[in-house]
Amino acid sequence: MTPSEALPDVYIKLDRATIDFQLFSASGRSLKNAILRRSVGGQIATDASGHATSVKALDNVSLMLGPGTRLGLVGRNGAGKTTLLRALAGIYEPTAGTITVKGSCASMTDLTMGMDGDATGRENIFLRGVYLGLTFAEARSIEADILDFSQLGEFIDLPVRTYSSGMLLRLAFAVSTCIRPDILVMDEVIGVGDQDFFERAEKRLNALIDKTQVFVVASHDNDIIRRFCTRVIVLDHGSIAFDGDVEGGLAYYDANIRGKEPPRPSA
Amino acid sequence: MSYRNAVEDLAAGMRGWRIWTVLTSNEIRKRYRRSVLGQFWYTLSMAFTVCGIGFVYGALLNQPYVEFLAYLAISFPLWFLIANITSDSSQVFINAEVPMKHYAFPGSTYIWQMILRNLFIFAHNIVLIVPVFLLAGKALTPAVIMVIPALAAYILTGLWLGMLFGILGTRFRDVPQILSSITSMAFFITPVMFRPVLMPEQFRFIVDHNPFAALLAIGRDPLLGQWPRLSDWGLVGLITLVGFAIAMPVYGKYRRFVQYWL
Repeated sequence: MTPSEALPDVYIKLDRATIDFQLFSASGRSLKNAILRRSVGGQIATDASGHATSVKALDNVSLMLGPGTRLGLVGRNGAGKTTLLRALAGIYEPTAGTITVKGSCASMTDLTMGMDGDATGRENIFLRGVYLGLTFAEARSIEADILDFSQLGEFIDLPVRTYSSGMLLRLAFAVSTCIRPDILVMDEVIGVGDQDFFERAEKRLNALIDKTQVFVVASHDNDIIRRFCTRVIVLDHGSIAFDGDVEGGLAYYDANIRGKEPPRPSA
Repeated sequence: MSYRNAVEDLAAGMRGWRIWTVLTSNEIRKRYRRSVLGQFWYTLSMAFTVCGIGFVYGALLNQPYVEFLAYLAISFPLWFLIANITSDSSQVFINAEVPMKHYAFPGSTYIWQMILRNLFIFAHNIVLIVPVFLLAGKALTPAVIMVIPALAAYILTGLWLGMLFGILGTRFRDVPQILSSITSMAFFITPVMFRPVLMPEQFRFIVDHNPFAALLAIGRDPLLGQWPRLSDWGLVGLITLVGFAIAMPVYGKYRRFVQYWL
């Protein structure tokens, strides 16, 4: 893309983005060793490499996601799906290359994140609402809609630790889906709960996705990818192995990746 | 570039004030949920500390009891505010590991959370001066107005400490230990339990050049009814400037690595 070409209002652009996790051992985190390493200079290079193992979770990924994107991420455990999602949500900044995100972005990587077990359902709605960027008044105003969807009845005024896992999921899902971001990033969130809930959840999710401009979901479930996505990227060892239509991507994954040797950390 | 990153992060953190007020209030509510006294346990345990120390050290240092109690009821809450801001600063990001891996909040959100938590505790501790002043027949004087800039100085101190040691403490896990050793040692060389005048002349430099003592004095003197000394404010101002000058570029440069170091 040339610089003169106009970019849309909402987009995500990755330019040779790399994410390298340095794993420090206890000695690697110690101040003394860091100072010694510096004062001894290059000599310790072999030692330094012995201290830190690195995991390249994302390797030189270039990608453009414009308005209307409904992208499914496919890959084995450890292929870099969650890392890529978190990078898209602005949690990880790339260690090399750039990631540009234009537009408001919400990530649903862990539905119950930010919930407090000792607080009541009502208090949790407020907490999560504020974390999602709502004002205090807005966070209170979403209560009715969430009560209606989650069907918690009088449980709403009890601490959430007394909830069954199904009730907790209904509440968490309802809160997470009450905002209207430009970009929505999801990590395998649905597919749990009973049939009735699943149907209502899907309806609510569809309404949410319809209003977002860029939607990215990582999933191991081909049905979910087929239902929500129009494009598939297959990730392997942190790189893009395939980028194209849904059926092509799922077929590529089945033929070339499923069941092969899992990724390993590189020293 | 690093400076700009740090300024942007601080500004975004301020705009997101709702998030850290809710984080703090929930943190405190969580700690005292289902207890009868709730957060007033802060006040009660401070009252025990002040009475106990007042009794023993008042006798040891040969101080008039009630007068000494009034001194302690001011200096202890202030000391806890300063010392906790200092030692908590290195753990702001370590304690926020879970939200930091799920939300893209600006890092200063968690620094503000730490500052607000300590101000909240301070507010509960400082109410002790009401009964103690009544007992001692003391009253506040117009100099008390200088408590406001002192609180502002504590907030600024918390910000630069949080930016600098928040980063260092996440990367080097010895830093929180070092900071907590320093603050516990500083307690004994700072006039918290004794009046600065009790320090013999040849050791006065320990009080005069001690940043903790200056931070304490700018809040304590106005509550005791004295105008703060220019020298104390000078030292606080100098340290705050130097602190920000070091913290801003470090924070701007390394903030983006914090998630990787957690």
